[in-house]
Amino acid sequence: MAGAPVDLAGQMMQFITITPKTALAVAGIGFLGGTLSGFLGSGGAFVMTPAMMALGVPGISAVSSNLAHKFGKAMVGARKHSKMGNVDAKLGICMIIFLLLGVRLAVFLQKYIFASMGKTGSNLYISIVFVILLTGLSLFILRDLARSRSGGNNKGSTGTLKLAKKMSQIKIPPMVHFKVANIKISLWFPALVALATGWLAGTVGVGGFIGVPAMIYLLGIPTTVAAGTELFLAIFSGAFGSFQYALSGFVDIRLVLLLYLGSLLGLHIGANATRMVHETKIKLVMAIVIGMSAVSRAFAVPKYLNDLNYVSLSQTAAKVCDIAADITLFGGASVGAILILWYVARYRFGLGKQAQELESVGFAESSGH
Amino acid sequence: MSKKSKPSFVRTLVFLLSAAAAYVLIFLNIEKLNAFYLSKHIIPAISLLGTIVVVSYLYGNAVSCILGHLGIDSDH
Repeated sequence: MAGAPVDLAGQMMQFITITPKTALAVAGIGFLGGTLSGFLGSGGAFVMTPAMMALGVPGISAVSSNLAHKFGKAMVGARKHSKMGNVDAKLGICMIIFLLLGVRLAVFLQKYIFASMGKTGSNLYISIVFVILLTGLSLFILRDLARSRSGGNNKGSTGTLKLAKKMSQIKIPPMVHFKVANIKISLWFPALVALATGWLAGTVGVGGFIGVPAMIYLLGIPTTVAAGTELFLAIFSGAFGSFQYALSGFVDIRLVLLLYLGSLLGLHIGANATRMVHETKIKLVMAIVIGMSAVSRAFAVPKYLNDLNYVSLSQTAAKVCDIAADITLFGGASVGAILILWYVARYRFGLGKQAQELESVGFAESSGH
Repeated sequence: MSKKSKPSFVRTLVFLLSAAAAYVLIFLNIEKLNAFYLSKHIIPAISLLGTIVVVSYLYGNAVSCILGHLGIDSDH
């Protein structure tokens, strides 16, 4: 199935040709991403966007197809989550305008880079954003894990509460009281968080991994309300972003549907796994997947720089970077998915002592998932 | 693990067949559909997103029903 060419400001972009092998690979990527999304709460795009790029999908098409895939999933999921009562509608409405502004800015930048530097420039931009964000996030999770293990978690929590308290003391008008979140804060802080979340959603296909922690640690919003409000916002960022990209002809529906084949199945398996394992293991898997994804994109950067003639790499060096990027990406995602499947199998079939202990103390009910 | 009742066989079959039909129809007519979806206008863009939502609804429910029968359904 040949790909259709898309013309944008003189740049011709060809969607990839879908062979049975490619279709299976995309569905497999969807399964990995879905499993990780279900297990971690979000984050399938960490793996799905770079993995599609590794298959030869142009970065901008990978991001837009991923965003459309996320939008459909959010629409379906919202039906169930709307009954949770964890959404601060006032906060959400205040944030939407800035969120959409962030998405619009990201789409504008992507189109500009694609039009001026072509597919390789666009891939380079997306990869650099991934490297910076994922490295920071991975280090943050590892630090959190180390603190939990050394029993210093309370100190960390107090530190983050202090930060949120300091933010609430900065009285830049207008000061707004958000009832469900139970905070009174300058409107500009949620606006900045929304702008950053929207920009990330439009740039790499996922913004919640920054939006939720920012709402918790900077704005002092309770975790459940932050997660619920972010889900509410994700529908709008997904819809607006994918619509903007669809208007330019970047959304490849074949990729979106093939991703669904694996991701919706993986989503259920991953979500089930969260009931069966301790939070530290969830964080460990998260750190492995995110860290390896960051390393993978770091390996891809020299090749893009070489293609743009910014650096000069020998053919062997470029090939080695390419292979290393694929191995680290698919290796990290596979290790994450295998660990999750192992947790599920161990719990379901009573393998190992720990699984039996978890069941005997009713861990599934007490874990809060 | 899951305290929910299992979905009915008919419901599972309806969603499964509908999802399969949607996939077959779309992939058999992808050239014509893409010519429409990639025409860079508002109606094609909305239609593209609408198609995605419908397929995700049908296939998502089919997967949920099948996993429900296997006892590994989730609330997602």
